[in-house]
This record gives sequence, structure tokens and C-alpha cells, in this order.
Amino acid sequence: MPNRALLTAATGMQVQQQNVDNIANNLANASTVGFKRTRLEFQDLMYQNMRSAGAAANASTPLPVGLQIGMGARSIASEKIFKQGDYKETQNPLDMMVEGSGFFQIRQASGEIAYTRAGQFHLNEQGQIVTAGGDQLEPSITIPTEATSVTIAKDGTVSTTTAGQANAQNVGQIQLAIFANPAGLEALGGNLFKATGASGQPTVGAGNANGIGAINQGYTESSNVSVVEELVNMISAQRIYETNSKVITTADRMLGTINQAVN
Amino acid sequence: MNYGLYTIFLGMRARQNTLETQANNIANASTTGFKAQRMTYGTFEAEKKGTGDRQLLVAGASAANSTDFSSGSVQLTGRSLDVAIEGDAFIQIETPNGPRFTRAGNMTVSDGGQLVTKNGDLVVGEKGPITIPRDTELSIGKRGTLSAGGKDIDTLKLVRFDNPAAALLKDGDTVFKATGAENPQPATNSRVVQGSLEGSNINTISEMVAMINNNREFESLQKSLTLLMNDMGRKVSGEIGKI
Repeated sequence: MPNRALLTAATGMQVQQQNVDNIANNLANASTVGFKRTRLEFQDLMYQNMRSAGAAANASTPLPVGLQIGMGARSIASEKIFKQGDYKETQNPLDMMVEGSGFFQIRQASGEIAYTRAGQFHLNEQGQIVTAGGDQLEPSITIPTEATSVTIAKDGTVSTTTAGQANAQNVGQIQLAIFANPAGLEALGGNLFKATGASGQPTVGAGNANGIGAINQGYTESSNVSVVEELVNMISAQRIYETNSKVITTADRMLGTINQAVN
Repeated sequence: MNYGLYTIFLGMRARQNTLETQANNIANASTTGFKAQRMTYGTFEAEKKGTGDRQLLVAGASAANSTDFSSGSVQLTGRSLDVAIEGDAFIQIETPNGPRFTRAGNMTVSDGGQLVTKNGDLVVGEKGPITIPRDTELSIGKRGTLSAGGKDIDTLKLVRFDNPAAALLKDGDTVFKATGAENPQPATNSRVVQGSLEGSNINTISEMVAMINNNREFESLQKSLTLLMNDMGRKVSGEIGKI
């Protein structure tokens, strides 16, 4: 029945709808520091084998081709693309950018560790390094109130200088986490990610070693969304959506034709 | 039995199958590594009446489809675990139901560090399952050689078929299964392109044109059906009227 074509076209429209939803979220975050764009991935659904190739058409001739009717498409994965975003110099001493694949570790209010690429940090009233949301950097680092400047080395060592003291003081070291499959991280919103079974457990270490990535002070990592690319994808999604709707019109017309024939 | 009606039924059924196939092609316009299906119509012989020059062939059309394995357009993604294949090779994967073949090179890494497809099926190399070291960037060479930190890990198992349309059946999830018509052979002439993906090979314009054409054929068949039924109706009522 053309019914099957109607349902198949509906799956095609649904997939493009989700595609546009995702593009909208990417575009909305084109200026979000540390944001990583998401790419939707699609697969075809199962096939109904109406007639198998190679089956006997009659005693002597096997059918050269069969008939497989597919049931449409679905979104299989939303893949975070962890491509490095552009560097933006801010000269703010608590802005940090990871050059490599590491994530900053953030201790949330619940006690759980979340991971982020957004290295815009601040100090709270106790002098601890926190995110804009107030969650502490893990391991916790406190900047003494009398400190006049903060220096963060590529390996994450945080040192401060104080007026009247000749030597800089080491106040802690930032540890970064890397994952076997960062695309398997779950986005929590607020630029934070959570480890899942798919991402694997993090390997934690100091920056600038073992592929973890170096920490650059005074820079932020821009969103890796390319507005042009998203717009092109949006146009293409809209056109394919339209084409799928034409399939529905055609299937409907064929059903109408049958109804005309039997009245 | 009315043979005309039967022939029209076969023709209409074939057009329905065509629309269903077109709907699936169009629904998968954005599916990575998707291969469109093309329709072929054959003559379906139901019965032969009489012999010699007084022969009446009772026949109609039957639809079949086969996969068009032409390449889709290649898009640059810049992701290290995306590969597109230039040439006729397939990436071999291992599923719980046995080996499968795919052109969708959007691979990922499982929590155990193994190279897998988006469905979690193992992508196999020449030495079996491939484990990716987690702290170094993976590079994939033209021949499918996987290396990390200057050390070769394994090579993607790339295979090809002389006649893929007969050797492979669609199995959903953008993978194909072998029909057994032909054994997979090592692919030596294909090139792996890292950081790219092969898009769907459907052409929306030609699909639309074919769909309009198919719809018109269906309508013509409906017209023949109406004619045939009216004709029969008149005859029957005419004959009955005489009695």
C-alpha cells in the first residue's frame, strides 16, 4: 500500500526536523565560550525482503534481483565534535584555554565531578577558583587575598606573587581529564559534561603531558560552531524536508486514485 | 478470471513498490554512506493460453530493486575518526549476527577503547578488533593504516566485490550483509580519506522526477481500469437487458 510510503516519508521528515532542532542549538551557541557543536547522524531503518535475489523464478531461472523495501531513516547519534575552537586573547588572568583534548574538572554542588572546556574562571568570596556558576575547580585552588598577580603555567601550576615577597608562591596545580571517547560524554548544559559508560572513565593528569593538552592563561576557546556551515546544513535540511513532504502528497494522490477507480 | 484486470493490478502494485522505494531513498537523503535503490521492471508471466499464432500471454509487470553502489559526495568533517572511501571498498565490521560491510565511516571508540561503529559493532582490522590508545591522536593513512604516536596499530579491513549488487543485501543501519554469491576480496585500489564522510548517493531531483513519472503511470493504469470496468459493465447490462 502507499501507506508504507506515507510512513517512510514521515520518518524522513522527522529526521530533518531533528536535524533543524540541532542546527538551531548549534547556531544559538555560536558565541558560547568552550561550546562544541553537535552533529546528528542518520541511518536507514530495517528492510522488508519482499522477494530475495537468487530465489527461483521458476525451475531453471533464479531471479537476478530481489525486492527490498526500506522503512525510512532515523537519527542514530548526536555526535559532539570536539574540534578545537579558535583562540581568543582576553588577558584576563583566570581565563584559560586547553590546547589539546583535556577537560577542566569541576566539582558541582552535588559533589559530582563534571567536565568542561569553557575556561572562564572567577574567584569566589573565599578566594577559590570557580566557574561563573559558582562551582569549584577540582582540585580546589585558593588564591590568597593579598596576591597581586596569578600565573598559570602550561602544566597547570598556579603561582601567585605578593607585594614585598621576592619569590612566587606555588598555590596548587590544575589537573585535566581526558577520555577514550569524548563524544560519549553527556552534555549537562551550562557548558558542562558528565562521564558515561560510553565515554569511559577519565584519565587525570597535569597539563602539557601525555596528550592531555597545555593550559594557556589569558585566552578563551571560542565556540567551534561555523555559522556558514550550519546555514548550509539548514538550507539542505529544509529542502529535503520539502521533498519528503512531496512523497506524502504523491502517496496520498495514489490512494485518491484508487478510491476514484472503485467508486 | 479477467486477465485485463489482473494485468492492471500487477502494474499498479509495481508502481506502489516503486513509490515505497523512492520514499525510502528520499528519507535517507542525509544518511551517511547510504546507497539508493533503483527499480527494474520485469515481465511477470502468469499463464500462456493457446499455442502457435493464436497465443494469448497473460502477463504484467513485476518490480524489483537493486542497490546503486555509486559513490556519494564526500564532505569534509575534520574529525579524526571519520573516514570516506574513494573507490569500491567496504569497511568490514563484526556484529553479533556475523560480518557486515559498510560505507559509513563515522566510527567511534567504545568505553573499552575499541574502534566501533555508531551501533557499537566492532570495526575489524587485519589483526582483529582494533584498540585505540586514548592519549594520542589517531591518524589513518590512504591504505587504511591506523597509527598513533608514530607507531602502526593495525590496518582497516577493506574488502570489495566484483558485483556488489548481487553479493550484498541491505541490512538496515547502513550496513550490508553478504548473500554468499561472492566471497569478499581484499581491496587494493581504494583510498581511505581521514576527516571526511561519504554522504548519501541519492539525487533528490532525479528522485522527484521519477516519483512524478511513477505517479502518472499509476494514474494511467487507473484510467485503464475505469475503462475496462465501464466496458464490462455496459456489456453485462446490455446482455442482461436483451434477455
